Amino acid sequence: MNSFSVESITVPYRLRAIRELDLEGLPQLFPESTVHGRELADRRAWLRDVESIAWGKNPRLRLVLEETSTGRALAGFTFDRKSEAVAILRYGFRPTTAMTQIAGFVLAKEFAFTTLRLIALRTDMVQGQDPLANIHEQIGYRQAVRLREWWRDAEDNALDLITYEAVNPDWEAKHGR
Amino acid sequence: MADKGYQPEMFGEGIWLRPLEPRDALAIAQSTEIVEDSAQPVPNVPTSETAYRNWVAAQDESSLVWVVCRTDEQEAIGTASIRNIEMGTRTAETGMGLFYPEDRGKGIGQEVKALVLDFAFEVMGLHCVRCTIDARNTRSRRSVEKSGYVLAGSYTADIPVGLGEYADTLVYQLLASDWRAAKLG
Repeated sequence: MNSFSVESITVPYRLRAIRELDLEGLPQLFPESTVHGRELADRRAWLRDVESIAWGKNPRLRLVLEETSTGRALAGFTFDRKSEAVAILRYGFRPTTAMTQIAGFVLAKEFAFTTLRLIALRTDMVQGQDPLANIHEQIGYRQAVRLREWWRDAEDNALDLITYEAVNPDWEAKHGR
Repeated sequence: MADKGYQPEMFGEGIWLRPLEPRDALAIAQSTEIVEDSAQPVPNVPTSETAYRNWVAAQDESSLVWVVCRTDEQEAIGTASIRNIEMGTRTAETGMGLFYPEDRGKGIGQEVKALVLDFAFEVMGLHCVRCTIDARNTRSRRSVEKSGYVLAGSYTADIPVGLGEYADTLVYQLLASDWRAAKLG
């Protein structure tokens, strides 16, 4: 058997808390937030506000997908806790590859089930986002709800809103699917 | 209480709906089961008259809540609501509940839903509404299906029902076009 050192294993990505260094890319990482302004000082104030809530009390948890070799933030993931068992996942990516996106979504799902110990993680997408839908299906999400004509695009066309859901395997083993 | 704009009283055959008021807090708090056609009719359901008074006062402009009364009476026997109103997408969530078991199965729920949906689609101009139902509640499922709602899917483990136990939520929706077609048909 070949020997190896733990240090030699490279993990290209990880999830971590937001840092001051991430503030520059904040609007791309967390596009759902409308409170962080254009000025860096505004973003710093926003970060101070959202991060001052004690861990476990904050219903909205934000994590960054970091490229471990550079420390650069590639994506932002927001977990909105709906209950002890369920969270809604939202995200923002800097321009990146599909593989990086997949890695991010896989890590987010693992974090939801192993660290947060959630039963279900949900994410919404609008009809026509086929590449994103394919990624989610590849990593174990399924279409849970499809609301016909629930969303409006910029031209006021009515589009379906689709909720994808990943269910904790432990829960599925106990309760079935 | 927030200004609700135009929220009229509405009249059916055997019931009428009037906007929720602080005086209704006691009836709601005393009702044994406010959940009929909605898995979660109100967020953080209060448990006392005082808590309900605070809840009534805190209703914001994205919610319209009525109490259901029998014709010629003022006492609340249920609630009906249009919540999470998004005028940008012209969507909202409907819900209703009757407090007393003896009022169920008499067509009151259908009458209430017809009034609320008529208001939602014809007066507010909404394009689509949805409602959520505890998957275990077969009565409510039948009731909303009878009103024309169509199953859009389900959420896993959406409702806490006991220590570490959760029930699924069914999501139904109704498009204005389907509602109008059913009325004509």
